[in-house]
Parts: sequence; structure tokens; C-alpha cells
Amino acid sequence: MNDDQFLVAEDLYFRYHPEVTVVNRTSLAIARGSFSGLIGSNGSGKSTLLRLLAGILTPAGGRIMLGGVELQDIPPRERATRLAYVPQKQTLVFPFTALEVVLTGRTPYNSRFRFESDSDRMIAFDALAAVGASNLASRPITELSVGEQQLVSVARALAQETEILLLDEPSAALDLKHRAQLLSALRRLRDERELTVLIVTHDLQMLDRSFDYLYGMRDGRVTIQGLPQDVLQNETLALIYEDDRVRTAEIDGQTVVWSEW
Amino acid sequence: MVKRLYGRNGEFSANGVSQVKSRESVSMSSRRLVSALAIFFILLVVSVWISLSLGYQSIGWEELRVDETARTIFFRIRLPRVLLGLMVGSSLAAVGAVLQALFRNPLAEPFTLGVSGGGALGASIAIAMGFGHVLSGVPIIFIAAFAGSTIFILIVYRMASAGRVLFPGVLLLSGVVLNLIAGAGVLMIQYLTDYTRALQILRWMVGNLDIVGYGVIIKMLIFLVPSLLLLFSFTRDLHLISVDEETAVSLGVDVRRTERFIYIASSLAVGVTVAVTGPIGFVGLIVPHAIRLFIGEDLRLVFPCALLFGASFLVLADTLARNALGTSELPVGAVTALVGGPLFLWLLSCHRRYAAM
Repeated sequence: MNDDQFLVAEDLYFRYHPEVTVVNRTSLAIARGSFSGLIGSNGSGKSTLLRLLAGILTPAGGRIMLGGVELQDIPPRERATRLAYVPQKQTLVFPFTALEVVLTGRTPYNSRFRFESDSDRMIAFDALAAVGASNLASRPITELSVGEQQLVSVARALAQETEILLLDEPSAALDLKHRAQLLSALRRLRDERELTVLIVTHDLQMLDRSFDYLYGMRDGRVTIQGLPQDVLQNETLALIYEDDRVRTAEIDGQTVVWSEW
Repeated sequence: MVKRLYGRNGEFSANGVSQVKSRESVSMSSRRLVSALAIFFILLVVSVWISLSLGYQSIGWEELRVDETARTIFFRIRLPRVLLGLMVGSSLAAVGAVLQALFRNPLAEPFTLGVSGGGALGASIAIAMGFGHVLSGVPIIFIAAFAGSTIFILIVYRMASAGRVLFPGVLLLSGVVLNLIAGAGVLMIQYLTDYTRALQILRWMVGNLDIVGYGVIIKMLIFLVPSLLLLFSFTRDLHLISVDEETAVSLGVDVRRTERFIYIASSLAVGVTVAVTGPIGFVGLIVPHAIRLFIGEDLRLVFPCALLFGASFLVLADTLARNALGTSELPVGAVTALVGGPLFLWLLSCHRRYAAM
């Protein structure tokens, strides 16, 4: 198996309703140990593509290969030990503690009738520490801010100890400090464990420093891909966002993106 | 963070010593479960003892050995009634806990799915038509109620399913609406039928633990035991679903399959209890919530505790129903509603736990 072809989507097709095609015959290949971003305007199909890659949705056409094996042929429990997914939004109703939520990440390693062991708890604590959320461990998840809930959700995914991490706008509700902390934590895990990370994001500022590769999506297809410095150009971004008022500039060696209006 | 190997439970610890150690130090959740179960079990034993001791005819343990009448009252009337209370109480509480987790809705309860409405309609028709017979040990009214529940369950299921997918929102709504329709039907029947039968229907609607023979109890167990075992086997998956459905899917839970199994098993369990006792309210709503206050939200802890505490709760409520008025009896459904309702509101005002809703 080729490491450049670790997680591969071939000719993917998906629609929620017969009228609206959300992911339209698109392909992409993600390299093992890469740190990539998926960008695109609202409704371009980013989240749906991520759900397909996570195995949460089943493609109506095309296929997804994980390490040379078709994703659908991997039993769900085994899949959960190899690939973790952080949804954009969680529907949190019951006041579980943050630690309990993170512990659910250990599910694929435990039998149906067993509680998480003390070593599972240690892994969960480590995961919370990795995203800088140790102080939240015993807090009810329903009382946390959306940003804190996001951190807990990422910690849960880390506790799964997978090879691949798919995150849907994990930093959308985070302040600058936690945003930087989360990214550096993910980068560190990539460096230490060869974790493969794909992040859906609207946060273009943080892309060029941290990311290896970017995928730009438009109308249900990955239309543009490349290195951050190549994608973060006026013309390319204008294509991805269908907006010719997007501007980029380099300040202190970092690309800054804004929109003129 | 230390680089770990990816593997099943315990494989990542390289030496055998730490593996043994981790197995010996049982997880905190299991310790909590064991102590909670011990407390609820003691409570259950006390409740059963109180319930068996109290009654219109006071029976001492001494009389039980010598007095034939006392023995008849004890073994033919009081004991089966307590057993029925145990079974119905634990089933309703457990199903309530499960459905609240499945729908991620703290207001879900065993009768939300339309089971009670169907049962009530079936029983009302049978009562109004004067079917007082007993069919192979089971009164026809029970059978009619069970048939009504089953028909309603099937309607709700058909309404809410598209292929292999169940829509929880449609499930809840169609259950509630069918209950309302059934309520209208029952009112109509009560209005048209004669006075004594209307009263009998009312009595059934409130829910009470009537005296049944051991035959009925065993027939109920044939349905209840497999249903509750099935629910128990899904508690882990339901725990994950109650945290977040999409995350549960990503963790390997087949949510659609879980929904179908839970729906079938809980309707069956509730259908059987409703058929025999009528819809006894509030047990399935407040018992799971009360337990959550003590032990937290994890359904793997809540479910077994709900089984025990639901049994205690209903048996105690029935003891109150039997003894409160002295010579005559209150229906236990009235007691659970009168005691349980305010108690629930009080709990809710103390712990504003669902602020997020």
C-alpha cells in the first residue's frame, strides 16, 4: 500500500434528497501522517464529505479506501479503532461529565458488558490534558460553553487512539489561545504518532503555518488542492469561494486572508 | 504523550504485571454500580417486607404457620400482588430509562409510544361488550388490551419507518397522537356504555394491581424476561446514543438496528404490563430521573438500578394504595400520580438539570 494513498475517495457521490446532490463524483487522496485542511463555502459539501470518509454516511456511488481496504468492509468497531470523527455539533441533553464523554472514546476497545478500566481513565485524562481541558473533567458537559464542548469532543476522539482524525470545524467556537493550543496538540500527535489529520475549517488564517496540504471544495467536488502557499492566493480562493473580493497578504511571514466589502 | 500501540483492551501495556494490576483494580464505575445495587437491593427487600406485612387483614408470621385463612390470604392474594408490583414496577422504570436515552429526551416514558392508548382502547371495548371470560387462565380483557397495544405499536412503527430507518421524531409524535385518539375513543365508549361498565373502564384507565393468579404472572414473565434482557444488552449502545447520536455511529454503534430492537422490546414489555395492570403512570418517568440524581447519567448504571428501584417504588405505592383508606382501596395509578407527580416537580426545581433543552 502506498502511504500517499492512505485514505482515498474515488468518484464519491451522495445526496440526502433526490433533488439535491451534495457530493458530486469527487475524489481525493490523503497521505499517511499528513495534516490537511478542507475548505470551501457554506453548503459546498465539506461536512458531508467528511461524514462519508468517517463511515457515518454510506456513499450512493463511488468508494472509500482506508489503507487499501474498502471502508464499508471494515467492521464498525474496528473502524472506530482506526478512524475518529469529531462532529461539528453535538446534541447534548443529559448532563454527563466531560470525563464520561471522553471515556466513550474507549468503547471500541471494551466489551459490551464491561466498564472502562482505570487505564482507560488514564488515557481519557491524557486526552483531556492534550487539548488543554483537564480542568473540565468533572464538569457537566451541558454547562460548558460550545468551545469547551468542542475541546471535550476532540479529547474523546483522541482517546480513541486512532490512526486518522477527521474534524469538522473544531476551532469554530474557540478563542485564539485554545485554537492555537488545539492545533499544536494535533500537530504534536501527528509528529509523535504519525496521526493523519483532516480538518474542515473556515479559519483561513491558521492554514499556512500549520497545514501540509489543502483541499478546496466547491459544488460538491474537490476542485482545487495543493500546498497552503499555493492555495492561499487571491485567484485560487476566488475560485473556491466564488467570490473575487477575497484578498490575501503576507504579514510577518504569515498569510492573512480577508474579504473586501 | 507516550506513543502507544493500537490494540484491544490491555494489549498496549507491554508487560504482564501492569495488565494484571489493571484488571484487579476494578473500574470506578463498577464499584459505584455494586454499591448502588447493594443499597437499592436492601431498599427492595425492606419494601417487600413492609408490603407483605401490611394489609386489611393483619397477618403475623406466627399465624402464617398455624392459620389456614391467613395462609390463603398471604399466598393467594398478597404475595401474587406484590410479585406483580415488582415485575410491573421494574419493567416500567427500566423501559422509561431506556426510552429517555434512546430519544435523548428526559420527558420520554413508557407510554409515550402509544402502547397505553392501544391497551386502553382494547380493554375498554372488551369491558363495554361484557367480556368477563377467562381464556386459558388469562382474562379476555387482558388479551384485548394486549391486542390493542400491539395494533397501536404496529401503526406507530409503520408511521415512523421508511425502509430500515426509524424516525424518532415521528415515532414520538405519532405515539402521542395515537394516545390522544385512543383517549377520545375510550371517552366515547364510556359515554355510551352503562354506568357500571363505565366505572370499570375508569378503574382500568387509572391503573391498578389487581389480584391475579400465578398463571398470569408466569405468562407475563415469558414476555418480560426476554424483553428486559434484550434492553439490558443494548445499554452500552444506548449510553453512547444518549451522549450524541452521530458520535455513537462513529464509535461503531448501529443506531438504526438499536432503535428497532429497543422499540420492539420495550413495546412488548410495556404492552404486557399495560394489559394486566392498565397504564400506571409516573413510574417510568420519575424512577429513572430519581436514580440519575444519585448515580449520574450513564445508562449502564441507571438501568440495573431502575429495575430494582422501580420495583420498590411500585410495591410501596401499592402498599399505600391498599392501606391508606382503611377498609377500601385506592387504585395504585392514582397513588403513583399523586405522590410521584409533585415529587418529580420538586426534584426538577431542586436540580435544574436540563437547562440546555
